Amino acid sequence: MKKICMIGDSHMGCMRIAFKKNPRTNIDLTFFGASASWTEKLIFNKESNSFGIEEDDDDKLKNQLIFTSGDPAIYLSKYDEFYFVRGSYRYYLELFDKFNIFKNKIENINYPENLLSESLLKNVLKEYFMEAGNTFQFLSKLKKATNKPITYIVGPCVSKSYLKSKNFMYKNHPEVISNLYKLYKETILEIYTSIDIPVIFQPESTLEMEGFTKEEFTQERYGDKGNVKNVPDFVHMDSSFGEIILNNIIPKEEDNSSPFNSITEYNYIIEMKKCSLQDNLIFPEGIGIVEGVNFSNYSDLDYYLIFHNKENHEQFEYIIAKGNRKELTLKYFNSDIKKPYIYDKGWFATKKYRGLLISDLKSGIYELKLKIELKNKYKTIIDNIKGSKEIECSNEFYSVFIDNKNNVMINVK
Amino acid sequence: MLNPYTNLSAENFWKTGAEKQHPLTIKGMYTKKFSIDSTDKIVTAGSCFAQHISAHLKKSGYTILDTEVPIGNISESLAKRYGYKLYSARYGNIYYVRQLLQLVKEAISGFVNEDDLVWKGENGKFYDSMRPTIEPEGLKTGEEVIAHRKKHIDNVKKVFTESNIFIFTLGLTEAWVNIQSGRVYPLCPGTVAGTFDSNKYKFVNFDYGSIEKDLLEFIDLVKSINHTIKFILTVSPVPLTATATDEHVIVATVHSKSILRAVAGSVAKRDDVDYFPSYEIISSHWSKGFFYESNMRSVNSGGVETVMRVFSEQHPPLIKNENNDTLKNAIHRKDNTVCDEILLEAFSK
Repeated sequence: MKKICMIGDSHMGCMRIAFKKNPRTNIDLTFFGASASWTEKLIFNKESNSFGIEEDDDDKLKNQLIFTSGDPAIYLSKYDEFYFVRGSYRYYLELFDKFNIFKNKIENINYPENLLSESLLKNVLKEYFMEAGNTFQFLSKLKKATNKPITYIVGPCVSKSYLKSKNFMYKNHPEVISNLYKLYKETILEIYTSIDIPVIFQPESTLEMEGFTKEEFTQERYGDKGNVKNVPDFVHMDSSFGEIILNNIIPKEEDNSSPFNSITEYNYIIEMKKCSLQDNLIFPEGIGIVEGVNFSNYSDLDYYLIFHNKENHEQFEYIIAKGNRKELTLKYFNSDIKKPYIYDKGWFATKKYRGLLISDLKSGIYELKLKIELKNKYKTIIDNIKGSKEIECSNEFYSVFIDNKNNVMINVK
Repeated sequence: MLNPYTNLSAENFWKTGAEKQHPLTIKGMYTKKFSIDSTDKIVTAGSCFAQHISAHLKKSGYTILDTEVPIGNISESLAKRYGYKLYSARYGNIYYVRQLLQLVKEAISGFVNEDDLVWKGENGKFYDSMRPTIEPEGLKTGEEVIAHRKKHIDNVKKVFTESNIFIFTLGLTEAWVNIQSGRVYPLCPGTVAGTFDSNKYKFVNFDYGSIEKDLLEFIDLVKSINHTIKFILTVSPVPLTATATDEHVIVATVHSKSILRAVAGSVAKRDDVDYFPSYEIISSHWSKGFFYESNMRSVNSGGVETVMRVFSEQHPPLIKNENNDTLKNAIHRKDNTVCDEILLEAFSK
């Protein structure tokens, strides 16, 4: 049985509750939790191969570790894998609050009014996140101490109610937050790629506008903050959010009572059937179905088109639309399976077939991937989009082509 | 018998003024023409040596006017990498008097000349040809470069209108100019960004006459919008990295510096212009290269300190007022009350 150690702050709480509600019997999951930057107090003990608190230092913290995990220290040899949860997006907003960005009139990400370029902003973020919350420092130490896999789960974005509490000025410019969020993700990715630690961001399906978690996931709770009473909590998410994150890393065991749930290995077809280009717009269309999973309603799934730069691993992800193609059910009907499955909505396309703006892509060669989020199964499938030579196209900015493994690629000139 | 030298002070004689003086303790090399008050707003500009002057004055509690402050408390090193906190605005190094004249003309007119303003870098990003190192990673579009420049020029105007003391370090005479417009660039096209085209750009070695004319025109223009402003001129002691003339680099350096020194001396005859001899302190053969690093080009910290000590003898340090609200403080702001509750809830049995 795989032994997983999850270390984190208050944002781990929702995962703990989710795990309690839906335990996974195939793994042994231990949580080490305390609030805020507690990991800065952890000292590595070479002899016991553990991270713990020094004797007589911070009994409260020590008790919290025992309370959450049963152990006073993280003994590295006890676990096969490590996950670290930290609510850095909260810090991100605090940073901008500190910088008075919420009070300044800023019309776009590049801040000409404030002479703040995107590259400077990225470096400001980088500098900040190398320090914030002790995350980078702790993960660097952990990485040095063990060869076992370590993954960083980035804490959730705040909910939109945060805007009200800050007298938000960008209501007419939601793209500011979206752009900041994109930049924030890029920065975090850059930082942790540098120490070879993979990062899990919250799924796009939990965001209502890039940069804010859907209100439905926010815990309905109020608390006291210093002298201020009844402050709404727009930072911590509930167990349904925790379940989604948990499923990304430790999928729930399937329910054997349902015939399709017995499928543990998913077979899927991800294939581009049409593609064209117009200026900075791409018009991809194709099949994205998972065998044995119903695609009968639009709400059953979400599609994301991912552009992955194989050289620098930079990734751009866009939500795309679902189309209705009844013929898919007919074509992929498998009579061997007792229950017929509906694949009607298993067609990916762009919203209203109006194309997807990809001017954000930097020069380079990207492979195109499709991410299928199966809403009812808490399952996400990501794989390269296959295609044939007929879909190849190009204009002055891009050229879409098929590589020798039939993967769809795009060259951004 | 009395002669004109009889009553001169020790500093007037080589033996007492130079031979018997140690480079680190030399005195009397500079007598100020006017004072700098704590209320005076100082502007600094010039070649890279001017950054030392700016930093020292800030440390000494003088008010350095800064019209382009970075947003938030970003680190000093990051701010400087992006041209903040180096001078009174993000204009970067101004090596040539012609460059300074161009800047003041642009600021007073408010007209940003977009002709050959945007240079493309090898990374595909866009740069302001008038200050190509200010955004080290470039900007996304040419339009953004223009937008940034327009805002910058607004801020530069404030530099000229709101200051009382303008300290300028003359740096170089060898420059690259646009053949058609005559515009001078701080760096040769094709180095940091842009593309060198010999049909478009040409080399110019500014002579005494043109530099003096430019400097006087600059002073007159600034005075036309700020008539009480005073100027302190210095000459950078940093030799040329390379010369584009046919001369040896040492010969070219002495040629350039001599012209700049002579112009500064001549213009400093005016009552509202002072000359400060940082060039002489560092590069005079009297100091035997004592103030240079081993490459005999970079000025060492002892040199900078000596220059500033001589300056401080006449313009003593004022009380400094530090702002301690750093980014780190912001990062370590802790408010764990809510988080504690959340964890307790999650782990309740």
